[in-house]
Amino acid sequence: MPKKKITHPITVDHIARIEGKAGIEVILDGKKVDVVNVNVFEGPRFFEAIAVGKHVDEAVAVFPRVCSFCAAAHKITPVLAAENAMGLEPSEQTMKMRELLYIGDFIQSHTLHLFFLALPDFLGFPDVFSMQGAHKDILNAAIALKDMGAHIQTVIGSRAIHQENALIGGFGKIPPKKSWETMRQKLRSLHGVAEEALEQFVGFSLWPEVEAERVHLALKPIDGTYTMFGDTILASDGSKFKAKAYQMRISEKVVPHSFAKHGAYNGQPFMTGALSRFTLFSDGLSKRAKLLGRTYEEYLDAKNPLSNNLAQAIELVHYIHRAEIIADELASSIKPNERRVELEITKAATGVCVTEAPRGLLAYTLKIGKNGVIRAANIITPTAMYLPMMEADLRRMVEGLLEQGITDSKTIAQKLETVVRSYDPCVSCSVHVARVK
Amino acid sequence: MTLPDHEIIEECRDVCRATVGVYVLTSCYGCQLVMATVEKIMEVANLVDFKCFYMVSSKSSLHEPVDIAFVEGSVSTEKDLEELKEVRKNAKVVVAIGACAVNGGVQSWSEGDLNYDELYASVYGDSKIKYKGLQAAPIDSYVKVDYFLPGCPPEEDEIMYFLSTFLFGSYPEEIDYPVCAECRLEGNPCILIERDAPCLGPVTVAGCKARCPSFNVPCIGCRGPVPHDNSWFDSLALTFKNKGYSKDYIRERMKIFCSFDKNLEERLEKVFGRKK
Repeated sequence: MPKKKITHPITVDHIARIEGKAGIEVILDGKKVDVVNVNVFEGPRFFEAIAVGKHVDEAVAVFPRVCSFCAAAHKITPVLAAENAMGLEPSEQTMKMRELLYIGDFIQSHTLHLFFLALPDFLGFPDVFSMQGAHKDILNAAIALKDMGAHIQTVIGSRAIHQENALIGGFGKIPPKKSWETMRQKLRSLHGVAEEALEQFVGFSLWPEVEAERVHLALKPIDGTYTMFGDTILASDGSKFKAKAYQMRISEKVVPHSFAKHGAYNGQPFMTGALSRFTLFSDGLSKRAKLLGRTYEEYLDAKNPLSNNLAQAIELVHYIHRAEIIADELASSIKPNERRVELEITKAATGVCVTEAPRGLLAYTLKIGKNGVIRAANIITPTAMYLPMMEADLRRMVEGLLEQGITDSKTIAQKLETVVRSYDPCVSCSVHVARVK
Repeated sequence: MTLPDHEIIEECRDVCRATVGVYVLTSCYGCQLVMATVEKIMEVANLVDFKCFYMVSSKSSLHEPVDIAFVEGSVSTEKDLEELKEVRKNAKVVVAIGACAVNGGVQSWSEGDLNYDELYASVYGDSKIKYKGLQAAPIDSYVKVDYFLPGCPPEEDEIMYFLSTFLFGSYPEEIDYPVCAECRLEGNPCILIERDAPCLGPVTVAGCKARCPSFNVPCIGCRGPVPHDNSWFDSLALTFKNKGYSKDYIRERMKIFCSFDKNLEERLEKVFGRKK
């Protein structure tokens, strides 16, 4: 079949079903793909700049507002960075509650992405609302999981997003034994439901057009299992580095078509997120999640970004199980009257914390003055880190489709949107923007 | 019957479906997230016709006329402003939803201290971006807004209250009392008086059932300022001064969610006294 020459651009003005405002722009020059941009026009909010001169207690209440989908991530990470600066050691109970709160965020965020944002593409619907007639079971599972994520975060954090109960040094109020028992029971009843997303995605083949070698980065789980805290970042190229020194390896630059900066690892595009975590650390998954991961290995290809949906689905299974274990431990060990550790600021210091947010590595550096005021802040979000890799994948997709003689811009645009959604981008996170040194 | 000064829509009952648009300018997407996940969202989706809800539906358009428009986010780019004007043109009722649309949101924390160019330079340096940003501002700085639904994020029951009053051909009433009123009803001890915590309850509009003070966490003021001529303000807010908090500290804390309150300085003067 002769290749048609097309010169008109392929554009998606506003990508629906993602968190934030972004578009896609592809400019073709004859048969060659000239430009592939993910245009980020979500307005900038300058979090690092506006926090300067403000007290650290208020700043850590403001940072979660970077993003509603991962508010707990943007709470716990800066809180840990501030504690790190001040040499404050949170109690074991505090860290357990924080991990469970963070898991609540993973459950809520992955559920929303998988069922509400991504799945309608694969089942051929414009949105989850129109699936009510044909897919009642799927929706029931989606709602049960979303409610579970919200429940965990409300019990521990005060509400499903922008949790105020998580503070520097601990918690304002610690839920009693009964709350943890109820939580454990609810989690236990969801074992089967947690596998619904995986079941839905298994069976859709991974598009070969976007398959390519790539470097994955993920935080090595602190206890050798599979969780969001750690000190060392591992790369799939075999290297590793100290999370606290992330600014030496991970950089950001400004590009003209985006209010979000573009990240790079040693100057190269890279991937971070569920697929990266699964690729590097799947051995640490809970038993059932590990088994499912092995069974559906072919759908979890580190070279293909569409696998990210499946990797999130595996994490959903894992985190429901892990949350149950932690809730169980807290039910038997909870000390509801444990006091919050008071923050004592005696000298100026800098604190760094990197965690795994639902979408990947999230890094906070806070420079705090001796009066407790923020002197400088640096935040790098996962979406900003992987935007260049996403653009490279979109380019591969367009080139692959053109090679097959597919030139209909609507068909191409739809496929591009699906690739973008598989990354689960968080555009409002990405435009928080880092401070120029 | 049309009530004077209150924009309402025709009651639908079983004969029609109200058209609703959910729009976003610049924000964290939390208001839409709460809206998309209210417990009865599937029932809501059957009762109304969503013409625009980009976050959850690819069947979305900015250009369709709607009965009710919920607008989340602050105006922070020229594109935001264009979209906002388009939404106003197409909607019967415009509701500002959430702290950003109502009061400018946390991105206005440095309002009055740093302007857009300074913020831009501190973050992007000399690099140029093809989109034009604007100083973050609440939406009523640019268009007429019929109702305000505050909160960061807004409360689920309040979203349902707004929606249902509209569908019944009525309108939501404004809350004019502070968080303290609800905090007392919750039976909480006062953490401002008893524990010296910097709780903004006295100056913050209620509706959250004192969510944070109920967790022993001082109110951060996310629902925005309580109406100005409120008597609670004088009596309770004086406690800030009595507890030794400085005017500057309280101003910075209030500014997180109140930087566009034109009465902010006057409120502070009521508590801390006028400059001599």
